[in-house]
Amino acid sequence: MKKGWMTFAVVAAAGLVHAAMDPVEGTNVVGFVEIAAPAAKNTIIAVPFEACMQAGVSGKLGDLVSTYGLTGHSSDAALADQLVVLTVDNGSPAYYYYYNDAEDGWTAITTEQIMPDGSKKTLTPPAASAFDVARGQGFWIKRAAGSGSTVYVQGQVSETKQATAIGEGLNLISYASLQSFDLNAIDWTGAAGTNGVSASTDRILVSKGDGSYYTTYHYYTGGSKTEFNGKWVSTTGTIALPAANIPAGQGFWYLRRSGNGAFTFKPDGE
Amino acid sequence: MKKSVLTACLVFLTGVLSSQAVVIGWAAENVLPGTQYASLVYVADGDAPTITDNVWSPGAESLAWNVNAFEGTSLMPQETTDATTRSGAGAYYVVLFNYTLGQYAVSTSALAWNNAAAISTSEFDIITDYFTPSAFSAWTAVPEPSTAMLLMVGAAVAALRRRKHV
Repeated sequence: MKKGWMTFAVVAAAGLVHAAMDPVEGTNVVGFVEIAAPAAKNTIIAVPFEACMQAGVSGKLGDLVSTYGLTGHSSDAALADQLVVLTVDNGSPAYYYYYNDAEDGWTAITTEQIMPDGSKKTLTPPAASAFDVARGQGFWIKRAAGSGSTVYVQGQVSETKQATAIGEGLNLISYASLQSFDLNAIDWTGAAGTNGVSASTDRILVSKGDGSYYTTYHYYTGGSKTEFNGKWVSTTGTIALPAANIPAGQGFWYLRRSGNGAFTFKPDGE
Repeated sequence: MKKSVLTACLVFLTGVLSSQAVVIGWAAENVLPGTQYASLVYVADGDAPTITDNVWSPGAESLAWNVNAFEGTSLMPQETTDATTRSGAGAYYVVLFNYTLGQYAVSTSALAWNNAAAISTSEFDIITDYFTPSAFSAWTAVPEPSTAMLLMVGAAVAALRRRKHV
């Protein structure tokens, strides 16, 4: 081979390697996130993706949550991994249950639930393939005993800001990030806070992952400790910023104390 | 979604209670001037706890020590785990301390061990109302063992002197 051709080949190969190392960008890019979800535990997960090949469109539950590596069962839902989605059924809050059928994937479970007025109601969720999950919406995964420790969520990567609506009371949400994130690096315009123990302070509850309750953060505003103003702080023991970032794909409770609202999440400084 | 609604829905999340531990939500308002730390104390008989010679009264257990998340005259919300199963007349009190002066003050109200709003029994039972006492007893001096011992020694010396004079 001539020296010129060899040089061309080396440069071309280097270019290909460099291209392979570049971050993936652009539309219609699909991806996945691995989320820690230990066996025999309940974990709040949140999908940071949209529908595949449909930018700006909510994905379907059955498409977004992979059954890869999960425990399935063909006849007994109680022995399979389950998804539990907090939603609204005919105007009332309700949980929809799905289990991982060994052959059919996520399959709706008919349950009898107690409704806000005390009555019992039989709920049959829509098929997982038809249930919309907005980017950033959280829900529970209940891992069966003896199952694995991770779950994968997948879909189309979105580069747009995330609009998340919240209602008064408890909401399961997350910031739809593909990487772990700092609660205080997100734009929380619209969060309600005080500098005391007022019942009007919004709260975020992050699961500890071991079934032992949560780490609670309060939105601190207008206090004497100015370094905490406009930030989520833990207050148990002493007042402090969060000690750790929240992993990608992990959801949390947002306790809205008064009125409906919405957040437009975007990275700090954007 | 209101807690009652949520709780109603969550009864179907079976098998979630992995232990008997509960989490108590507590705070305080109008803490006394000079307060440096706070503590959550459980008392088996429900009566306000006392301290003698640096020891709690019988049946009293301190569950959270040296809490100092104060903002002005408020103690910001605390969440403390109690791993012991409680029953009967048991109740929780908030106790304030001024270590510099060796004083303590006890909340005039208590939280029953089974209060549903301020005590969580599982990760699906979220605390909505923190136990927030706003009135406390007056500062009470904590007699330290050394002080008590000196008093006893002093009393013994005085008694011996009286005996010698007799």
